[in-house]
Parts: sequence; structure tokens; C-alpha cells
Amino acid sequence: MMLPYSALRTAMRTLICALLMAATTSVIAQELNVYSARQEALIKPLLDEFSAETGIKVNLVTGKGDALLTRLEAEGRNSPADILITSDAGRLVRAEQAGVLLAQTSPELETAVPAHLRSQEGYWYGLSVRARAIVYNSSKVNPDTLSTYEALAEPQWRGRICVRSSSNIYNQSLVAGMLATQGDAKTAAWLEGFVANFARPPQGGDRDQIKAVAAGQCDVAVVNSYYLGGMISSKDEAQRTAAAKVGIFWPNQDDRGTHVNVSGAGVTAASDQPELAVQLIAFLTRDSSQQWYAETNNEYPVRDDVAVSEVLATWGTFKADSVDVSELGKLNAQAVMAMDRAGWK
Amino acid sequence: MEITTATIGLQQPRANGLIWRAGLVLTALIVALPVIVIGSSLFAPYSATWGHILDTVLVDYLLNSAMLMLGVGAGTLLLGVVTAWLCATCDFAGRKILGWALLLPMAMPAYIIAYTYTGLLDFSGPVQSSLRSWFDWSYGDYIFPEIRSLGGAICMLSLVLYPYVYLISRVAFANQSGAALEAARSLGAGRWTTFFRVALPMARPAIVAGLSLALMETLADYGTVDYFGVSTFTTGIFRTWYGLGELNTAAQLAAFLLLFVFVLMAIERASRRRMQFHTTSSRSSTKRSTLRGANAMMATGFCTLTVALGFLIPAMQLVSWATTSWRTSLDSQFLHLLWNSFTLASIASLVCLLLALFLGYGKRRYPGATQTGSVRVAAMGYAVPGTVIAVGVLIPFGAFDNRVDALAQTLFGVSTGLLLSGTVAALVFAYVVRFLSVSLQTVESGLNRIKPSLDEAARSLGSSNGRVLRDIHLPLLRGSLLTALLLVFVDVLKELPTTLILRPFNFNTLAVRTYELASDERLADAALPALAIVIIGLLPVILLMRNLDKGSANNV
Amino acid sequence: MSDQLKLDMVQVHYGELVAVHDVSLSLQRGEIGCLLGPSGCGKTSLLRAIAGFEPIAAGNITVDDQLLAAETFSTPAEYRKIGMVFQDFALFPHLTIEANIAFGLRHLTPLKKRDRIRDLLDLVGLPKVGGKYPHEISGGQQQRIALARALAPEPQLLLLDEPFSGLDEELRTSLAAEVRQLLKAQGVTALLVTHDQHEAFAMADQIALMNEGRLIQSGSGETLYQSPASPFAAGFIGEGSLLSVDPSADNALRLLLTGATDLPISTEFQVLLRPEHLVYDSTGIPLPIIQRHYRGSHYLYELALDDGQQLKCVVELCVELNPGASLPVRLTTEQLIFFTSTDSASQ
Repeated sequence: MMLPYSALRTAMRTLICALLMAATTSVIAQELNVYSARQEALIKPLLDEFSAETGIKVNLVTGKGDALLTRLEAEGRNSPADILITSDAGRLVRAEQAGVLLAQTSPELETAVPAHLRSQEGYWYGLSVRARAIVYNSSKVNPDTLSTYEALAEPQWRGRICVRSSSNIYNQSLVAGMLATQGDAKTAAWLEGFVANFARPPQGGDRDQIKAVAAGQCDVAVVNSYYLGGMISSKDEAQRTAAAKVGIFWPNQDDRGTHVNVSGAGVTAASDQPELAVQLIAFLTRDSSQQWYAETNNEYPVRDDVAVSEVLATWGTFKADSVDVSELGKLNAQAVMAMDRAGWK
Repeated sequence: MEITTATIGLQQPRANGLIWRAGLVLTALIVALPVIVIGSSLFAPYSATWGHILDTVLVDYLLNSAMLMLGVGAGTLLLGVVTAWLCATCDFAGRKILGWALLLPMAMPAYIIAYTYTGLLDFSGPVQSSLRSWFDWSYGDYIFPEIRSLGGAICMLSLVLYPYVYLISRVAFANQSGAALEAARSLGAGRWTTFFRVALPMARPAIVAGLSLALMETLADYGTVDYFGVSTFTTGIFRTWYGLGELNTAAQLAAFLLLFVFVLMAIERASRRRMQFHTTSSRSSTKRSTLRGANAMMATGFCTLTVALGFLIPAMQLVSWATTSWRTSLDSQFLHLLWNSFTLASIASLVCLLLALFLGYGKRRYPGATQTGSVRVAAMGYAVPGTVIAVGVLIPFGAFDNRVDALAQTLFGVSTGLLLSGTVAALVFAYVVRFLSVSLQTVESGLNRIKPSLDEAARSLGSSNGRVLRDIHLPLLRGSLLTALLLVFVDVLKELPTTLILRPFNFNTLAVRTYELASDERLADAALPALAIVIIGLLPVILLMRNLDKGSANNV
Repeated sequence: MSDQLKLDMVQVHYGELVAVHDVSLSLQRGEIGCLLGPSGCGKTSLLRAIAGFEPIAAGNITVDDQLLAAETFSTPAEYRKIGMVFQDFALFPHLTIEANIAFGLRHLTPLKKRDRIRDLLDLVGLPKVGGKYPHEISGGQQQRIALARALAPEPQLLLLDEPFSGLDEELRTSLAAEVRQLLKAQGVTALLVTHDQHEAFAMADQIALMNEGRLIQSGSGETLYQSPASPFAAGFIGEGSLLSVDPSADNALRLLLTGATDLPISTEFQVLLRPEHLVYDSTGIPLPIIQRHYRGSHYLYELALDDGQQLKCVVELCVELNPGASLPVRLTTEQLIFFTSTDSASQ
């Protein structure tokens, strides 16, 4: 018996064609290339809408923020990417520092996005706000006993808190916010008390923390609010049941406000059509797009004048921490080290 | 007396050998490029972050990695060796079916089995929920092992990696000289004593070979340990990169991982060199002994349990999730995913096969320390986490593209843009770096079984090199080539991190889709693409099984 | 008659190592030659160089008046029309016996091919195994098939690399004689490599004795046995003892050699004493017995000389003496082979 030669030959031909096709990715006008750390499902529909409206084709690669940033750096000035979208401000600050973003001034964007949710020089603009709230088991915890993040370090919460790993960017950002407002010493003390209160070693994602609270494994958890929103509107009955057993609490309403981060976008330094890129970012911050984030993923709009989704409306309004989100990015590494020292896995 | 010179096909062997040798070393170096890029970070300055890592987390990383490797080592040994020995030397109910079913977990990516068991076993999953409702317990009333833990990671990885040990040691047990085992029995050793004192030591090199494959996969694993929140050396690399923003320090950590892998590989090589002395050419192979009563039931039970835990239960969980979500998941996009995954895996496995043939042949025809060394370096990518390889590809490719572009600009005033970066070619190259070792090992072991005298016999009968390849080597290598092709095919199909970083625009695969959904904790939606990976992954497993059955007859 | 194979000052090198050193040799058409020597003597390297598997570093290899290899070039093995039977037979395991034999018959029409295969199978006495696979037939049968396969394309020269070493003793002797008969009947020129002198005697018209890469002596089996040209040849071929003699000494050996003629008187020399050179004679010189070996039709005694050297003697079964006793012996011939130190130095 022989190897199927014809099949081999066909495969070789396919290979050569694929390589040739792949090699000819020269930039054709009226196309925009996007590197996005927002997942495909959470950005592609908007991009498609933009294409339908303007006739500009948008190409997309999704991935982890740092991986995309490294790719941008390696590709240098010839990178095909026009826009970098990340799911937190920290990566945007890193991109800005790495010199792969180009500052763009746009009156439209500056009015749409509040100053503390964008880079002052115009390197990047926030697209949606993500709030880190406290979720509690409604049958075991009286929300009146909740007040601030800081209070979660108190001994009364010993063995009652669930939270995900410190490798997660939202936790890093939370601690960075603490560092920015409370300083090193207070943050270190808080971390010590907070970590000591963990009900179990950090594991899983934010939905897992909510499920653990619902099941009674712990009493409170610190999670991004849109995960709870996703569970409330989930197709999976188990998720809806779990979500019904918990309540949401906005911490620090009497002082600095609830910690927020943004997903945001910036124009790359390698882009040869920055105006077009700005046009897309502006599209992503306009009313209908902002509403879409809220409807699809229960994120909060960056614009004050946009109505939030039904689910979000039931949670009421809250005061958000107004610390400059670019400050969070700059303090990110420091936050990770502080968590390492506190033994937050 | 007239002397004529036979000038047909005049050949200068030494010059020819030089071309082969140079080609071989060059190819190996190109494939080793990402590994070299990462390795060279060792010579870059060490940032202050090192002090922080040493003070705080490094001990934890090392301990967890060591525990993970020990645990997975013990787990794969227990599952792999026992099942291999039972299937190779004993007869019991269901042996034939179990013999191949034991390979099924190979089709199950570690991160997918982790998702499914988490769904089943975590606190809010069906198992614990049912327990609570049956016995009216609540949290704290009962003790249930935490699936998302180091122990859980060890179980998950052991369940999908034991087939490496099973596959290789089963062949070794089956080929063991019956005489040696009979000698042991005649000297008064019982069945178990014979197993521990004769059969096991004789199969040790094969077991070590399988074990080292499993351990390298363990080291490279990121998906499972990250999902379970176990901080290992590998997750530490990413934490340093993502969290601290220190790519260089992360690369240095990765380079230390490489050093460790090099040691592991050296041990494996050493044990394989021994294997040649261990396998006897004796024709009398082991006769199966028929198990009865409790022994037979235990054998059937153990093998069935292994298959059930490693494949049946997670597969059933996937199917049940898929039935709830297939309507939304199964769209035209899904066919696109299938096609992308399929073509990528086909191209990468073919390229790996051709390169493995080239390197294997070169080493066979022109052996030497330089060739062996460079081929070994080229095969190192296997134990390197995919993301690290991706970075090792990004950096030199970007530099190359920009250099070429700058050159073209100055010489011709034209911009060539990026030639390689962000193309399928770059992605395929990364796969080759990661998986060449798999095809190389298979092809080499196939080539080793073809005695050089066969080549010479064919040539003395008037065959050109080409005909020797076509009429002698290809038919004899057919099984090995197919195995090499399919193993890489499945590995690429399952591959996630490299694909995620290097893929071109608008390009998704089954693994990427599965990951995106699962990482968003939408396990039910992730079930259909995950199931597709498992089903396609079954194809090579089935072929492997058929090969395993014919294997002994094909031994030259 | 012209030479079918001619080697002229051939050298084979492996890097720094010189495996074959300036070997010249020729075989006439239809003649069977043999390269004999201990392992590592270079005989296999030379055979592989003739086959085209190793390049030569110096000299010429000519077959049927065609120059096949020299220092600067090497005709690839596949163009040499030289057949080879391998030590491990090297039958293609994935092909049937018929297909194995047909492998070198690509130029024939199917009909002629079939006839040729049938003829060859008849020739080696295995007409019925054609459809089987190599692993389905015995070792001796595989050997014959390997021979048939090598003969199929009617090579100008047949090389056999230790062809009988994989077989058991009994089969080896009978097959060697059988193969010689077959090759002679077909008029095949052949060159055999072996370390076994009995095989060489049974097969070859002409034996080339090699040691450490050099050709020591070449000639018929009788020549090599009866007139070895060097102490090495004397020691390697046949059973015998090479004894150092000091003509001025007055010892048992000197006494034993009294009857021999032509031995040097003034210089020290070595003398070859084969077992048949000595005979039991009650009036002979008594030598103490070290060991007695039973050899079926006779005894072989190992005897001690008073200067510590040993020699062997074959004696009929009726003379049964135990170790410790003395056996009186005398020479049976006046013509003995001896080497003076100048002979030894050259080897």
C-alpha cells in the first residue's frame, strides 16, 4: 500500500496558496484593522454595524491585552493595526508608555468621554465603565453591615469572603485604586486583613464567586457588576437561580466611590489612516453604541447622558471613584507586588 | 586492455554530504529560533523585579510546579503502567475494547476536561447540589474535595496524559521476552513479584519515555492550572508579563524553564539509549495469562474506571451541554471554525512531517554530533508554553519584516510592509516549533527500525535514492508517517495560546472559540466547539489503535 | 583471460582511521575469492567499497574493465551491477519472496520476470515459497532467497558479506558447499567476506588474508595452510603453535627439532609446529602433558616444553595418558616453516 500521493500534492498546493495569500496583507484603503482585548462577541457586532453604515471594512484580531501589545511592539511601524482596544486602562497606559499609540485630539471624543476616563494627551479614550461591586448572600448578610472595601479587612469577615486570583486584572486595578487613594502603608495593612478573611483559596472567575456566595460557601464576594447582570439574564436556569439569591452593594458611597475601570481604545502609531480610526472610536462612544454595551454586557456607559439597561436600572445609581484611570495603569505593577507580598494567590 | 570510466551519475559523496549537513543544521537553527530568542534573554540585564519575585512568589511557583510534576508523574504512572501491563500480558473481560478505549482520553484537551469537571464537581455543580438536597446539607456540613486546586489539576492532567505512558509501555510489555518472565516464574517468583522485579525494570526505559512526554506537556500547560488558580512556574511567567508588565523578566523565567526541560530531555535520551540493550530480539513474546474471579473483575473495573473518568464522563457532560446550546452555536460561523481548524492543522502537520523526514533522513545518512545536537535543539519547543513560543516568533519575525522593509525603502523606495508577521505562515511556523518534536520522534523511531542493510540491498539491486525512498522506506514507514501526521494534527487542533496571539485578522479556530466562551464562564456555549475538537481528535486515536494492533507484525 | 575484478592499491579511510591500506587484488571471471581475517581487519570495509557504499581514498577499483571508483570519484552503488548478499540477508519485510527477487528485475517484461523468478527459486531449491513473506520462512531459506535476489539481475560480480554467520553450525557447512556448487554452475564471479577459515576453504578458489587493513597473503587455501608467508598467517590459518627457538640453547625444543633441515643455526627464529607435524613415538622426546582433549577419532594433547612454551599433538585413542604423565613425540617431517626476526618485523 502507498501513501495517497494525490492527496499529498493537493495539500501542498493548498499550503502554498495559503502562504501566498497570507503574505499579501498590504493595507487597502477604506479598511480598518483592530486589535481587541474585548472578546469577539463583545465588540464584533458594533464593528459590523460601523461597516454597514460607512462601507469601511473592519478586520479584527482578539487576544489578551499584553499579547496584543507585544505583537504591536514587535511589528513596529509596519504594524497593520489601526486601533488597539483593551478591557482595562492599565494596558492602554502600558501601550502609551511603549510608544505604540499616537495621541489624537478630537473635540467630539473629548466631549463624549469624561476627562478621568481618558488619557489627558488623547492617546486613548474609555469606551465603557466596569464597576467592581460587593455581592452578598441575601439570606445570610444584612447589607447594612456592608460599607467599604476597606471594611472587608475587618475581623468580622474572617472566612466569609470569596474573590478570584490576584492574576486577574480587575483585582490588580482595585488594589491600584487603593494605592492611589490610600497610599502604600494603608494598602498593605488592608491587604493583610482582607487576605486573612478569604473563605477559600482564590479560584475561578467572577461568576464562580457569585455562585459560591449563592451556594453559601462564602457570604460576600468582590466582582465586576456585569457578571451578575449576565447571570440574571442567562439562558442557564442554574445561573439565574444563583443570581436570585444574592444582592449587590455599591461600596464606598460615602467617600471616594465604587472602584471603576474602563475598556478603552487608542489609535496606533503605525496607523496610516488615523482620521478613519478616530471616526471608528467616535462611533464606539456614540449613544447607540454606549447603549449596546449596557444592553449586551451590562457595562456602564462612559457618557453620563446615556440610559442604562433594565437590569442596571434595578441596581440604582452609584457614585464612582473619580480617580484618574490612567493612574491605575501606572500603579498596576506596584499593586501586583503588594498582592504578592500579602500572599494573595 | 581498454579501461573505460563509468561516468553515469557521477557522485561526489563528501560535497553532497556537506550540503545535507549544512541544510540540516540551518533548518534546525531556524526552527530553534524562538527557543534561542527566549534563551538569549538569560544574558539580558536582570531587573529589580527579580528581587521581588525571589522574595515573594518564586518558592510558591517552584513548589507548586514540583508538586504538580510529582503528582502527574505518579498519576500517569499508576494509570498508564497498570493498564498497559494488564492489556499487554493478561486476558480479562472486555480487554480488547478497553485496550483501545484507554487511548480515548488523548483526544480530550486538558483545559476542556478541566472545564467539564469543574462544571460537574464544584460547589454549585450538579453533584454537590444533589448531595445537599438529598441529605439537606448546607455549606460546611460535609467535606467534598475542592476540584479547583492543585490536587484537582493533578487529577485532570493525569487523566488526559496517562495514554502517553500507556501507549509506549504497552508495546514494551508486549515485546518483552517471554523467556525472561518464565525464568523468573521458574525461580519461584509469583505474578506480582515477576511484575515488580522483572517486567517493570525491563520496561523502564519505555515507561520513562512516555512519562517524560507527559511531564513536558504538564510543564507547558497553562490553561488548566490558570483556570484552577494554581500558581505554577508557567502561570508565574504570565503573571510577570501581564501583571508586572515585565516581558524581559518573564522571558528569563521561561529560559530557566527551558534549562530544566533540557535536563529532563537528557535524562529521557539516556534512558532511551539504554532501551536498546533492554529489548531483546527474542521471538518468543509474552503469552497472555487469563485472569479469573476477583482478579479479572478488578482488571476490568480498573480499566473501565480509567476510561470513564478520562473520557466518557467529560464527553457526556459536553454532549449534555451541547444539547442545550447547539441551536445558537451551530451557525455558518461554526462551519468556518471547523474549516479553519482543519486546514491549519493539516498544513502544520504536513510541514512538520516533511521537516521531520528531512531532519530524520539527514541524521540517518550523515550522523554526527553537530547534526544530533542541532536536531535536539530544534525539538525543544515541545515543553515550552505556547505563549512563550509565540513571543519568540513575534520578536524575530517583526525585526526581520521591518529590516526587509527598511532595506526595500532605501534601495527601491517601496515599502514591503510586514511579510511574515500576522500571517498564517507565522502561525504555522510557531506550530512547527512547538510540535516538530512529536513528528520527529515518531519518524525517527520508524527510521531506526529500518536496517541500513535494506537501503544498501536496494541500491545494489540498481535502485536510485529516489526509488529506495519510494519502494522501501515509504511502505515501511507508512505507519510511522501516518502516526506523526495525526499526532501533530490533533495537537494543533487543541492548541490555543499560540493561535490566540499570532493569528491573522478575522481568523478563529475551534480552540479559540471554546476558550473565549469558557473564559467568559459560558461553559454550555463552549461545549459544541469543544466537542468538535474531541471528535476530530478521535480520528488519529482510532488510527493509532489500529496501528497498535498491527504494530508487532510491522516490526522489522 | 582478463580480470573480472581488479583492485589496485585501494585505501579506505574513516576520518583519520585508515581501514584499508593499499590493497591490490584480482579475481578472474568465474572465480570465487574470499577476504579472510579477524574482525576489524578491514575486510568488510573493502567489500563495501567495492559495492559502492564507501568512497575510497586512494587507488582504483575496476570491474569488467570499467573503472568504478578512484580517489576523486565513485560510481553510485546502483550503477555498478554488483550483487550483494548481506550478513542479515536484508530481505524487504514488506514484500513477498517473489517481489523481493523481482526488485532488481525492473527492465524485464512481466512474463520474462516471472520465468526468471521461477528459475531462480528452482535454482536455490525453494520453488514453493514465492508467495510468502520473509518472516514466514526459516533462516536457511532466507539465506537462499537473499542469494537468489542478488543473482537475479545477473550481476558482473557477487559480493557475500559473512553470508553464513547468522546460521547454525550444521547448516553453515552444508550450505557453503551448496552455494559454491551453485555459483560455479552459474559461472558467477564472487567475493566472500568471512572470519571463518573453514568457510573460506569450503567456498573459495582464492583467499586473501587481511590484518589491520593490509593484505597479508593471497593464494589458494592449500598455499595459505602449507606455506604461510608470515607469523600472522601461520597463526591465523589452521591449528598450530608458533614457537620461539634459540639455536644456542640446549633444551627439549632444540632436541625435538634436531631432525629438521634448513633451520637457521646462528639467529633466533620462530617455528610453526602443527599438530600433525608431531607423532607419538615411544622412542621420541618425552614431554609433560598439561591437558588431554577428546576429539572423537583421536586425542589432542597439550604438551609443555621446559622453557615454558606449549605445543599440541594429535594421537590415536589407544594412547591414553593422564595429565602429569609424559608423552614421547618426534617430528614427522623435515620441512618446517620458520620465520627469522626480519620476517617478523615486516608483519
